[in-house]
Amino acid sequence: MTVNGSSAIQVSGVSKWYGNVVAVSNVSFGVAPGITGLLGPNGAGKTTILHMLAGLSSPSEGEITVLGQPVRDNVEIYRSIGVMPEHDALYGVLTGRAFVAFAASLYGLLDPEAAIGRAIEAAGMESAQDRKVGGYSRGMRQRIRLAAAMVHDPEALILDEPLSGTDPRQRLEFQELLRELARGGRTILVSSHILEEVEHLADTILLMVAGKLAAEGDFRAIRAKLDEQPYQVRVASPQARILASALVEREEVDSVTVDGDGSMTITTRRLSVVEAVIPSIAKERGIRLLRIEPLDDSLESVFSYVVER
Amino acid sequence: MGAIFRLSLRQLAGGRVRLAITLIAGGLPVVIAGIARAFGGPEGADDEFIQGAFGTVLIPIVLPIIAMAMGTAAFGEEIEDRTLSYLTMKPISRFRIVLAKYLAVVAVTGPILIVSGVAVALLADLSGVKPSLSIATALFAGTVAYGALFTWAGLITSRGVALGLGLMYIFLWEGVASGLLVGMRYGSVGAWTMSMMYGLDNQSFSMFEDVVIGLWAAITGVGIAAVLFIGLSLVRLRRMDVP
Repeated sequence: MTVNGSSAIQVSGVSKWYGNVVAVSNVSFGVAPGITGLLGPNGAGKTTILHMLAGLSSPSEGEITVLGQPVRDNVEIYRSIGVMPEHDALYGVLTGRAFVAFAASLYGLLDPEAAIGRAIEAAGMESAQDRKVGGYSRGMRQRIRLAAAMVHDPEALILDEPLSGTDPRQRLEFQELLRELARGGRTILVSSHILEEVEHLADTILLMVAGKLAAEGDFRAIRAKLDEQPYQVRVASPQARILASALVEREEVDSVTVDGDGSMTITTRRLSVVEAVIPSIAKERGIRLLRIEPLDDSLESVFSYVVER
Repeated sequence: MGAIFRLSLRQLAGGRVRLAITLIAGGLPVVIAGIARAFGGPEGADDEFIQGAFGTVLIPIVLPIIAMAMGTAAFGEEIEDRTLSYLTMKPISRFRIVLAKYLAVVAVTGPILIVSGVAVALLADLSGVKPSLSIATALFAGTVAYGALFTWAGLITSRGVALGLGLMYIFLWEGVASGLLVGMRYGSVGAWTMSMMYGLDNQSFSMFEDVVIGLWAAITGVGIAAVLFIGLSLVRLRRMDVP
């Protein structure tokens, strides 16, 4: 993950500013083959970095190369990279298959029909491929966009929040697909603002906070550092008090605050354990759960904590 | 380039509101000419009738309005819905993207205007191949120039601003300035269009004699406008931050 010549993606001293607003400040990193997570809270500068990596905008300062080549004003590089932007815009007049076929035609593939079929199958969109994309769910839109991004079998994939809007089953399929691609030697950079998503996907992470690279390297080492700070999870349930009394006995739970609106806020340093424990306790005691959500503010505070260190 | 051209055609023709406005605008001169003809209009070709239909309605108003609606949408819509990145992140030169979009604008706009113009000509008793060809060629040339201008306009600013500035341009530059100042006609797409009609058939369009510039000056103007604004679009697409 250090900046060196062997990285497939190389970012060196990159800054990006819009007028007086600094979106990214002097960021340097390298991305090797495999899956790398670009993690950070909303507004951390992840999308700005990915935009520059995709050649959609140029850095105000610094250099970016992908597979050893500059990206901006270098259209030939797109034969080797696939990009899935954050927004889920699609051409509403096209079917899913036509959208992928459109991408394939622009790559000038030798056997486009085979490539289209493979990409659609890999994304799990065979059954919906002939429907207009205008009628797709968010998860389907994500999957057909992934199919279009990888129809030309690129060496490097840049995916901005690819798991956003997918349901748990689709998320698992997505993750397995990306792992399979990574096993084939590809370089995959995946951004997310949700720690748990990246935890299950990437071995190495780049952590961005407030436009700066706060940490980079092995996920577990950074996770251990993150775990020193507590997370907050909000749980909504009509029987919040009963659930709270059960949870407070668990050693993973630091504290529980029952709010007046039928919800409670749990503070924990072991988020994934607590997220698994809550449904099992609720099932045991016949408690109905309405919602479980990690508080984004809490994540941001964790990211900030890493920066302060 | 063919795939982008075909997709752009579908996008431009697929916008129902835009297509409705375009068809209404294109049909308006025909309806007006038809009503004029039905309620005691002239028998046989009449200079005043032709002057009104082409010189007051079709060329100064309908032609730029339809070209503006289509031209500003070519890139403007893709920037608004953020699909432009699907084109720019492909191994295709920016020039091919601009050219495909521009050709789609011309391919959608041109036929509507030509059908409208030829229909008005028939209602004005301007039958025959020569006047129809003159009208078709001139309106196509006007579409070529306006199409390039408004395609660029859709790239440099938001579509709403482009439409607002476009209307001001049509009224102030094409309408007022080139009507009052003879020299301005050398920079007016409307004057180039009329000049081509007159230059290709000066018998049928003799009523434009006082307002036209030379045929070659008009052809040169159209060529310069097309090359200039396609070039500016290319520069813009290369330099812009794609949303």
